[in-house]
Amino acid sequence: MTRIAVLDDDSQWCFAIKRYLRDRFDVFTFTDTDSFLISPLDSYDLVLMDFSILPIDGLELTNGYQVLEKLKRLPDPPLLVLVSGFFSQTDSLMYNKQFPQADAILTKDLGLDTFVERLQALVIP
Amino acid sequence: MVDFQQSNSVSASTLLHRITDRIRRSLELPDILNATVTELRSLLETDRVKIYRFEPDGSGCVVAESLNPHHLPSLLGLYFPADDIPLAHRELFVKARQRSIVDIEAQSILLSRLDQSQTTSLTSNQVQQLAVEEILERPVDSCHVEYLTAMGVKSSLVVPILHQGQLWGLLVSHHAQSKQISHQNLQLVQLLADQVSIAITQSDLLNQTRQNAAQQALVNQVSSLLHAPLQIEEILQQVLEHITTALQAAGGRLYLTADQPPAVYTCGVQPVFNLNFALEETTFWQQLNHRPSTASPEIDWVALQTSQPPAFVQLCTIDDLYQVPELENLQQTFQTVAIRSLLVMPLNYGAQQLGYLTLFRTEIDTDIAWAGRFDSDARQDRVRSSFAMWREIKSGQTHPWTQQEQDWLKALGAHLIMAVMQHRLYRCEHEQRVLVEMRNHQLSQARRVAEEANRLKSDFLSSTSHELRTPLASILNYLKLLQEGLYDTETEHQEYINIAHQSAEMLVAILNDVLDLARIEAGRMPIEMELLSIAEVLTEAQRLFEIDSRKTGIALETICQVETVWADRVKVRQIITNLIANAFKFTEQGKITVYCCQRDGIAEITIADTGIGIDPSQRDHLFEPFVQADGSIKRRYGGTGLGLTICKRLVELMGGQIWIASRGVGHGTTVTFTLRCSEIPTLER
Repeated sequence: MTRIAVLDDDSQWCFAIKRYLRDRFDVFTFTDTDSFLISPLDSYDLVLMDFSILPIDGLELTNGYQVLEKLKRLPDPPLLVLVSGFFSQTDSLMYNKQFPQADAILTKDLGLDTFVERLQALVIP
Repeated sequence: MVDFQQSNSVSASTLLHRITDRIRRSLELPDILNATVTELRSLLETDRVKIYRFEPDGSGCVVAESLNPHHLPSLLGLYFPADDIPLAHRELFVKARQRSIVDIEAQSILLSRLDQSQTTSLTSNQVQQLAVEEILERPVDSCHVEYLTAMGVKSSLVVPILHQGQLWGLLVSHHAQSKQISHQNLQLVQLLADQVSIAITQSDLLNQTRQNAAQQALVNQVSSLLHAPLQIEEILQQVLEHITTALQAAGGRLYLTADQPPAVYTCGVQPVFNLNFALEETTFWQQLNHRPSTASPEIDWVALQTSQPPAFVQLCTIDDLYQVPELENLQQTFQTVAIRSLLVMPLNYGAQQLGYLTLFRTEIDTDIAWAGRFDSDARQDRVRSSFAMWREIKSGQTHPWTQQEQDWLKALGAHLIMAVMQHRLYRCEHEQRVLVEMRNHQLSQARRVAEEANRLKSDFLSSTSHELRTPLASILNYLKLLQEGLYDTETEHQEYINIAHQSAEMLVAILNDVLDLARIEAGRMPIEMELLSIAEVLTEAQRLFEIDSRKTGIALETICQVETVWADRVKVRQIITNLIANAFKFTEQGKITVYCCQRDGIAEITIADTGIGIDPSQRDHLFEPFVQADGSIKRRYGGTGLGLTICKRLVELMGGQIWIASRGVGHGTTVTFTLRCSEIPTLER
């Protein structure tokens, strides 16, 4: 089964995603970046990375995209999806250029059905 | 006789040699004159040889004397009135080059003429070639006899000393006994008088050179000062002091209209002027900018076109201001401090009037030692019987401005005008530059403020959208889970409902806060100010948080030392509730104290907790929208992130201030805001 990691400091979002996807994916959720970074990163097929993350002691990482860029440098990086409530469905396209390292940008107002559809489109091309 | 003549000739030759040698060696006139009288007396073997110098008014003074004190009294340094040697006689000395030899016992006077006009260029041979007919002998006037007798003189020889065609003085030999003066000796004395004339010319040149050097030194000194790296005020004060001292003035003023209000620099004695305007603003000074055609003759007016065309130096000198009708109204002003002489230099640059330089001289006392007491009424009738020194002391005399002093000031004036003008231009340029810089700075600041406002607006919109979408997404997600029945237990089912409900509440709270903030920013937040009891508001707040206090075990204490504040009751309640709620939110143990005191008519309301405190680096950002000390705090403690922003805006709306203090993380937080204790006066409002 496809392994998906979710990094988001909003525990309610993590729980909802995990609960909704559990029948279709193996979902691993993290609300703090430290825990995520020490998890087996190379075992994930896809990572859902929130733009707002908690600061990490000793690392100059202030947002999820910076973490995403780090993961992109892995030998065999997973699919990296940037998720945020900062932008809406209508303006997400214009952010593609701003975050070129992201394989996709998904907004939190998509609704769970659409969200899952987009994920499935990514993992099963 | 031949031997005597030879001996006399040798002595004459030696004397001439010595005198010319002395003149060559020294340029100091007193030395030369003293040597002349000494050498001549030793040759003539008379009791007194003196050199008498004429003053411009015809009087004169004995400036050098060699004397046999046993036979004749000294006249050195004594003045003789002009009528002692009447004008007609003085003219004869010049026009006829007349020399006189008086023998009292013989009652005769020998008048010798020297017709050659260029006496000073005569050689000794030329003098010797003069015809005997040119010597005229006649009886001496009785009053002349009486005059010389009163002086104790029986033999007199007088030879004029000319300088630049004018009668400079007399070379005089007196003897207490009758004495023959040979023609040869007369020629010798004439030669000496000519040598003295040369010496006077040389000495005059020396003095002139010295004066020029001194003038140049003063101009250089002042010029250097004018360009010294000092404040212009300091420079001008020093320049004024230099000029005042150099011109031996008792006081000076520099009045510059270039400054607004006009600047006045002063030093030394000043007229006592009690009016509310400067001396230079009186009619007399104001009219000096244009040479008055009807000016009094006592006003001496000179002008000098300088080498720098725009600067036109004019001087107005007044030796005795009490004789000038134009200054009649100001006489009292000067009289108090005994000012008698004035020198005014209007400072003009082209058509621009820059101000005035004014120098004052106080009246002086004169002390003249006359040869015998003279009476202006009686002296024409009778020769005075004694020539013993008689001191005439006069007080309240003028101290006139000399031509040399005026020349000095004219030279300095051009420099002063140029310096004042340069400073004026520099200051104009500097002011313009500062103005341009200020405008640039204001524009730059306005641009920065606009950019910052734009950034904040953009940040606010971005943050607002994020803060609204997060609870909205949560509501949608959990409703979807409920809709799909994706829960395992009833507890989980209930939890989904609670999360959706809390998220909806959060969404409403954020919307309300955002709308509140938008209304405040738009200036549409209604404020109803009144005098209200702050103690009542605090009591209400304490009652409101009783449950929180009990639940958390954190004591809430209120201390109020202020009766009333001038504020909007609803807004004050909103602020205090918000701040106490924050304190409970961030405090796990300890207590919360609300303290209200008064300082200078201002009420200070402080909410202090013993909670998590604040990192000092975060303190200044906490009043910005959606900012909490860090993201983890927001997730852990909740809240819209707009509470402090709204509190700040509301406090400011009521004319107060708000600030946060903390001794750091773990050391609690203190939030203080201020309100007026009484109503704001209408004008101030």
